Amino acid sequence: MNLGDLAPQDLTRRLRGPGVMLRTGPFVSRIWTDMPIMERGLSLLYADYPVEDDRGFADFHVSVMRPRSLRRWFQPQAQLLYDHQALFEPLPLDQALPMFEWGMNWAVGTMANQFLILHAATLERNGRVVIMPAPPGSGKSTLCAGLACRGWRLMSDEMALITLDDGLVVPLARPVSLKNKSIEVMTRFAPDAVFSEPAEETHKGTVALMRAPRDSVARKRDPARPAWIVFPNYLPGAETSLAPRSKAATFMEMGENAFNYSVHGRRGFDVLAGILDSCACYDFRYSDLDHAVQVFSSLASEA
Amino acid sequence: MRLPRRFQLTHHLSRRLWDGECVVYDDQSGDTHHLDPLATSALLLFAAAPLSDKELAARMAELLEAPEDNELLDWCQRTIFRFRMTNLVAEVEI
Repeated sequence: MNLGDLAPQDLTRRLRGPGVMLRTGPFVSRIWTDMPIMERGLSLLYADYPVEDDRGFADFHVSVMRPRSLRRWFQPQAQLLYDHQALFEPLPLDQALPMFEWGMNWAVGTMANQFLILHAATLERNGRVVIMPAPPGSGKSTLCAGLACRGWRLMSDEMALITLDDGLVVPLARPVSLKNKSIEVMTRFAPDAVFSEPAEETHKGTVALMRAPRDSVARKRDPARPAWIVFPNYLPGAETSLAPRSKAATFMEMGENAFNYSVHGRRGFDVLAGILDSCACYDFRYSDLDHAVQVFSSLASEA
Repeated sequence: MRLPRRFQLTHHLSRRLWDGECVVYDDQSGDTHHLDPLATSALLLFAAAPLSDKELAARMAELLEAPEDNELLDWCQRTIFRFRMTNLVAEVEI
């Protein structure tokens, strides 16, 4: 059963009672909330995700609640709790949904050390995965969303989960976080895609979440082998270019930006080196999303 | 006569080479190092046999088909210093 199959009253009852056991990729999260804005957001963005048995094992326990301070009577806020502990400051109510996503990222990035976790978007086509590491503002999420709407399977917008045994990329398809101008770019590029209401004045600017394509969500148990590492860079007015880059420099950059490379010691080195062995590495510059998608299509069609 | 100081690769390193560049993982410190092609060549020479600074300069001159001059010796000494600081090579006990 998927979250979208639950009757609204049943969803509310679960979210305020035993929690909703939501499966995202290899993880199950028990989620509570007493906030209608969160219920609407979950229904909108997570309708296609499986809901598991209330009595089962959950990897993460996450709740988004209204703080009980007097402040709730003016400028209401939302607070994220992990294992019933408040780890972060509350945020304005309309940022509840992005805050939930950041909290889920935090939980995976901090706890899921059964994987080597790289800070990167990952997408798959024809059984091969492109890993796109990049700092904020590089156009990574826009490109990721664009490719996910043009035939690439979204595996993750934010985290590449790499198995330690065989170096495969494990899917964790969750909503894609779009910021500022990229929201308008994507609503024009993919008018049929589903977006959350933009949350304004977050610490990342205006943020909207794009629902992951249904097929990407459904293939939650389908890992794939990495074939390319591409560092995207959105540069207004730039010609599209795809240029080879040093594998050793790529290794260092990915290791430095990984969530848990140092946790795994020698094993982390071997796994990351194995990925570099099997991947072609590129710097990618773009300003036009349509053209960027064409370049990636050509890359995927190469033998 | 005093014997020249020789240096050898330490035993707790893993390395990978791509296109002449190298990344090295140090099991003891948990550090990862990135070496450019020249430093990679020097590391590989140390992996083959313990070397003094002058011996390294001679091997590098051969490899680069370059004169074995003071500039190269200076580079070799700085490289050995850097390798020692990062624990990639250690002095051979006599």
